[in-house]
Amino acid sequence: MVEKKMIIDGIECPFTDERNVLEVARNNGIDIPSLCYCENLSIYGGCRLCLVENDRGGMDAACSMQPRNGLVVHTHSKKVIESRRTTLQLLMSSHRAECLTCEQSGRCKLQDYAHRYNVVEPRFKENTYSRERLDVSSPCITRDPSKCILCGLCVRMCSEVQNIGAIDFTKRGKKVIVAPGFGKMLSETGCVGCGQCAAVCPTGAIIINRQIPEMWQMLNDPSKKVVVQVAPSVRVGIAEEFGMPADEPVTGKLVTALRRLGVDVVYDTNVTADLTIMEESAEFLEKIKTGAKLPMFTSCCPGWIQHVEKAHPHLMPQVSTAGSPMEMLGALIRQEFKNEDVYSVAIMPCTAKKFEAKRPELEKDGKRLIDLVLTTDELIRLIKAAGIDFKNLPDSEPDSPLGDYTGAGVIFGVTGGVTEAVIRRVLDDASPDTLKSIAECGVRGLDGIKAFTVTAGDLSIRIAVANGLANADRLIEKVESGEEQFDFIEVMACPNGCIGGGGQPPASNARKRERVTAIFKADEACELKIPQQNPDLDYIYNELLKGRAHELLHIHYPGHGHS
Amino acid sequence: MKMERTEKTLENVNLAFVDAVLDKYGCDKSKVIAIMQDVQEKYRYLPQEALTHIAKKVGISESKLYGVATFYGNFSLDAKGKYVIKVCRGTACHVRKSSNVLQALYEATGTGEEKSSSDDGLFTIEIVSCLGACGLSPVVMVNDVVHAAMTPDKAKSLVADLREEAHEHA
Repeated sequence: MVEKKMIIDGIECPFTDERNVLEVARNNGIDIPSLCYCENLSIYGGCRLCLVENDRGGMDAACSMQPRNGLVVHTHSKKVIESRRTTLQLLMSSHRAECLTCEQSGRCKLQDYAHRYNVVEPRFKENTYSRERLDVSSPCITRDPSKCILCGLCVRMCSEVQNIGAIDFTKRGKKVIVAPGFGKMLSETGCVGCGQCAAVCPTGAIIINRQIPEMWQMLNDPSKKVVVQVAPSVRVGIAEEFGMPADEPVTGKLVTALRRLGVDVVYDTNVTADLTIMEESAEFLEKIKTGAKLPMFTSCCPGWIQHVEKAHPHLMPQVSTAGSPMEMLGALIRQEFKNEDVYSVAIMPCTAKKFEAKRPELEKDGKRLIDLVLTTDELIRLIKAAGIDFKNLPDSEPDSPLGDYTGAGVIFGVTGGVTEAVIRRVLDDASPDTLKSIAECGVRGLDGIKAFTVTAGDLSIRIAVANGLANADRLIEKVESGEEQFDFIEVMACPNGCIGGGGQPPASNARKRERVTAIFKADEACELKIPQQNPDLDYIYNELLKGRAHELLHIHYPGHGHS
Repeated sequence: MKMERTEKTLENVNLAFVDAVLDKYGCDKSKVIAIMQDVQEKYRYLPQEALTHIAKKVGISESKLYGVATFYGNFSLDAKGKYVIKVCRGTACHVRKSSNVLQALYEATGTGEEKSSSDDGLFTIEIVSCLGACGLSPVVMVNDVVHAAMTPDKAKSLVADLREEAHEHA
């Protein structure tokens, strides 16, 4: 096959199956600015910032241009730069720029490009930004139409990847606004709070609700014992923000950083990821034994739980009642520090966890299980605010008891991880050969839907794994039409699982793959691989829970009915 | 008068009728505009219930359908009055002082720029660009009847007549 090449800025750029000139340029180290393009979404061509000049002097949007062998384009000619400046000036004329206090400042693409192209003062004096009110109805995200530049990334993310379509372009002409239908608020829509819209928003029009001041207040309150748990994916989402490689987990530094922030007790949510597997596997085997309706769905993803409630309520009885690792550790912390004034904080890669923590079901013995959920991104800000030199921190271990965990808990962070952990539990064999065969059974990889069969003794289990709610919906359709049959289905609302969660720093696909590498490195670093090996289990079940395991570790949502 | 009084109460949206329209178009999402036109023809506006139902049936999000409905000026999401009065503000009518006619209609019906329908549910005032009857300017149209060479006084008595007519029907 002849190698295909196009000429960008006089440089020969080879390409293969890139879907547009923009990707060819980026793969060849030439950055063409763009505000409405995302590699995982359909092409819109609306922002006009990626215009390039062809060899006839015409201008085309690089995102909407097919690469052709021998094609010649210029990405920074005089004409192109002038066009970009005008485009930016127009965009800025309907954007409420309050950069100094904007949550997105420093990560805002519009701000970045304005600086890059030296757009120093507004050209159009009257700013026509939307005067629609803020939408603060969601506990997870806030919508601020005054900063929206109508790139439509959130709209496409919500409909194409999540199949929810909570927001869309409404009205017409200069009145256009991205919003839910009928003037509704986000909380009245199918929104599950996954935060993926915020992750792709180039400006601050959709932001994650931050609760950093609450955290500072508690850290500075000597009467409070601040107990923090850290989810598996946080350790692989944080390093990149401190100039470290993303494909290495930074568990030890994370623990040290939390202690330096003034946290009294640091736990790893991995311990209850192990516990979730114990409970969920037991429930699954019980369902098989009693002939209950299958497939059983996983329950640890709060975005998925909300999606079931809003879009597939009839499936709720098939969702496992095992609490999420966050919920379980929250329950254990309340037992461990029964008579102390504990402020229970969860650091999560997830925005929907902020909603989960507020659910009425997450209250046991009259106490909230989790007082505050901070995202990875909020933790990064805390660490920076405290002036901690994260990169050079020494490692330390989480507190004990409740500090031990196995590799099965770590891999929760990536799509297929929960399933792999369940298989490890069910096969009950920690030999390297078995672990290798599990890893190669089809459970790993970042495909949107994976389906495979696992044999355990005389039991043949048909399993499916979906990430992204649109994929979950496709899978459900196949199950309900009878086209496919499964015993066990894992769903993670966010693409690639929690490593790509809405609470993580936004990342490209390449960066997310590095995080996956880091997760499996963390798994490899664990001496113990299968959840039943966790040495804390005895203490948890016999000392802390004392016969209350089901009561404290399971969550019956209204849709579960009475069982 | 062919048109019935707009049913403002939402319980009166007949989903069986909406279903019949959907069946006619085979629940095809590429035909939502035609579907909404049929629904609007019956109710003279698009009731929210009907739109939510259509969205679910054709398999698109509520916000997407709302986006389509609000894109076109011809679709209305607000219940309209029994008499929809279209006031032409085209060039010819403007020159012949249609703004005074409009003002008189606002006053006579208790409506205004920000409030297109009257509280009694009788009137909706719409501004249109041209009714294609410039020779008769200034022109207003009540439902499908054209009223030519309007003045503020004629506008006021028109409203009074319509009110009386509605009263008699009731």
